[in-house]
Amino acid sequence: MKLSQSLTVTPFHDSGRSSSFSVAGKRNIGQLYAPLMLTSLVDAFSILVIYLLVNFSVTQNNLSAEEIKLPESSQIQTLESGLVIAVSQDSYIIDDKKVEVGDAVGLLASLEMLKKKKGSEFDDGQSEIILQADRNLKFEKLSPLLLAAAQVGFSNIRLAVVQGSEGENP
Amino acid sequence: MFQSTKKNDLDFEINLLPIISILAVCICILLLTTVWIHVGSLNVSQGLGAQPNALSDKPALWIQMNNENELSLQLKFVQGATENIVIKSAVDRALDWQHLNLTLEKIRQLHPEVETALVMPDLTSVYNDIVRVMSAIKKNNIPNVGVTPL
Repeated sequence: MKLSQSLTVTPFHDSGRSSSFSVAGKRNIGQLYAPLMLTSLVDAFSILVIYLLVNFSVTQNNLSAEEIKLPESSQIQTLESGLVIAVSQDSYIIDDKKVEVGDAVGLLASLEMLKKKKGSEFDDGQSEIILQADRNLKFEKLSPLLLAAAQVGFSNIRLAVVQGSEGENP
Repeated sequence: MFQSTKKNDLDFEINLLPIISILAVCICILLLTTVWIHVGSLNVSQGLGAQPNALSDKPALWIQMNNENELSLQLKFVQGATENIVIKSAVDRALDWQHLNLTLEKIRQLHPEVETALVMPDLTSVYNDIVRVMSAIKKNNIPNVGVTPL
């Protein structure tokens, strides 16, 4: 196909077919078809959809991520739903209620209420709570909570963690 | 849709645009709902409380953390093991994770009957470090891990 000195490319749509372009020169008018390869686009989209479907999770994650950066661990197990107690720098959040750090009586009372409320779901001696705390928190903030939980009868604790890499964390 | 130039020739075209539209919508929905950060749990038990038989006389490893990022490991109710193992902090005053892992591996090899470990953090211990210690214990096949509040 010969092209003249000046080259003009104008798009036009051929009905029922992919887009085509005509190349018009001064003397020679030729046609250059450049069909769009939609099959590869469909392939790419399909792979994306399959990948995202695999990562899709139907389990409800009732952990709130606001201001809490969870610690990392490589030895994690599946987090099942349960009673979540969140610990921030200045308060404990138990069943959506805030209890100030240092208020031992309030903490104990909240945990007792929580246990009574969810009493029917517990097996004897198998009470569990999910502890969600920031990784930079000192143990002095967690210790009263653990003591109160032990007194109330929560013997097993699940610490909410995120998957960590083997190289950085044990 | 069907273009036949000859009687025996059957040629049809699939319109890919609706398929692409559907896939694009699916991708948008899935991108919004995909879980990118996988949250799991590390199961531990309380070192005291309603389970009095948790650590009664079973062979156990006690790990004490102090405020200088040093770890003191002691084997309880284990025959032939009476000494304390102290792991000093690393050069940057952080916990010496490598040394801890090696020590736990050695303990597990020498005393396979130890299946319980108890972590006793200090008031100033950082929660992330406590979790890492418990992870190291679980990684070295000591399945039962407990934490003792002060």
